[in-house]
Amino acid sequence: MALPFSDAFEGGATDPLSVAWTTTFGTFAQNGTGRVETSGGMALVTGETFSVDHVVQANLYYTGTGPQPCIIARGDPTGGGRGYFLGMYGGDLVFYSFNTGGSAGSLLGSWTGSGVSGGLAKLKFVGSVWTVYMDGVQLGTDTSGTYSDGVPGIIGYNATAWDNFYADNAAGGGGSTSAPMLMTLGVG
Amino acid sequence: MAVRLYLTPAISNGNFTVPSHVAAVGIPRSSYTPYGNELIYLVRADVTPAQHTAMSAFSDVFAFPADVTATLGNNASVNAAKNKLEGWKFPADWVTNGMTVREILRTLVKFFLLNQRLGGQTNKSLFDGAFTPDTTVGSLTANQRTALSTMLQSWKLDTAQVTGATTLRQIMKTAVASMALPDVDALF
Repeated sequence: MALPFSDAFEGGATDPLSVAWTTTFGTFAQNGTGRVETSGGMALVTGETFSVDHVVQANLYYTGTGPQPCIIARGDPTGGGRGYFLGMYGGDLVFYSFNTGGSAGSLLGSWTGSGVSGGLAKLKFVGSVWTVYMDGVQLGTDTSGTYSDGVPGIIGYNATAWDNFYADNAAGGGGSTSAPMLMTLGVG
Repeated sequence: MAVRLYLTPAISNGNFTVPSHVAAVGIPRSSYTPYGNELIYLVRADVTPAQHTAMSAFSDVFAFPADVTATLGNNASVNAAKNKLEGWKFPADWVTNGMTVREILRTLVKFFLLNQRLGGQTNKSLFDGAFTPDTTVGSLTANQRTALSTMLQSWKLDTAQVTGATTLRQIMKTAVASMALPDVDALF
């Protein structure tokens, strides 16, 4: 397969995620509406080779006030349970760095009222700069250096669902834009 | 509305850290840069005049001037800023009266990135326990020295001249001076 990677989650009940995915924890299933859902799970696209600079997007779905359907950038393909997730919580859009399988981390951004179920969330990382979009509109951009590599994916809890997953290198198939640097430390 | 920048302590929300005061003030759109595992955030917020007044009124918040092309002000203002930064374990002896806010932010944010990367790699801070910017490398355990070296090398920085007498302050100042990150600089 080649980039860009996309998955409309039409694989059927026995194959809800394509072979490019690796489930880190939990289980995923078809919910009967052409979406994939979980009550608690994380899966990463390990079957493709992504630049450290990549973009990921998906439509996110939930009901109620507390669910957390999220997309992941720079997730640990070795199963370390770390990376960045952008998701919906209680009607808001929130962005975190996370570790320990998504159960700990730091808030990196929040946009009140922007987490409407069905919305197309998009997260882009280039070097140490991230940019967040919702339904094609840029909501924020800032910096984070916590994780410098990894792969796209999804994570969620509480009967959340995804559709129209898409991921590609930020440069559209190119390599990392991270420039090498060299410092010489003074001693004194 | 205007975009303003603040330094504010972090608070724990379960296993996640979030910046203090932002939710209480009711700021709807903001992004955050944590100082790794140190409980300090650089907040970039889209605020009303009333929200800015409320944020600035907190004694544990430092509000940067809105005009990033201006300086911090007179000697007293600069010294107050340096004391705040040193209290939060940022090397600040490089801050001078003639520097613009933009110049200060472009250097300061790279300290954030260094400690973030260490947090991502080890879930530790550069300043674990009683460590300060003046702690020497020789005071670190072997594991801590290895973690420091790994972190610096992940930014493609050469650590060959670091000795036991080198302080964390020296390392951090030299590192940020060598970190050519135009995409990060462009955020300020």
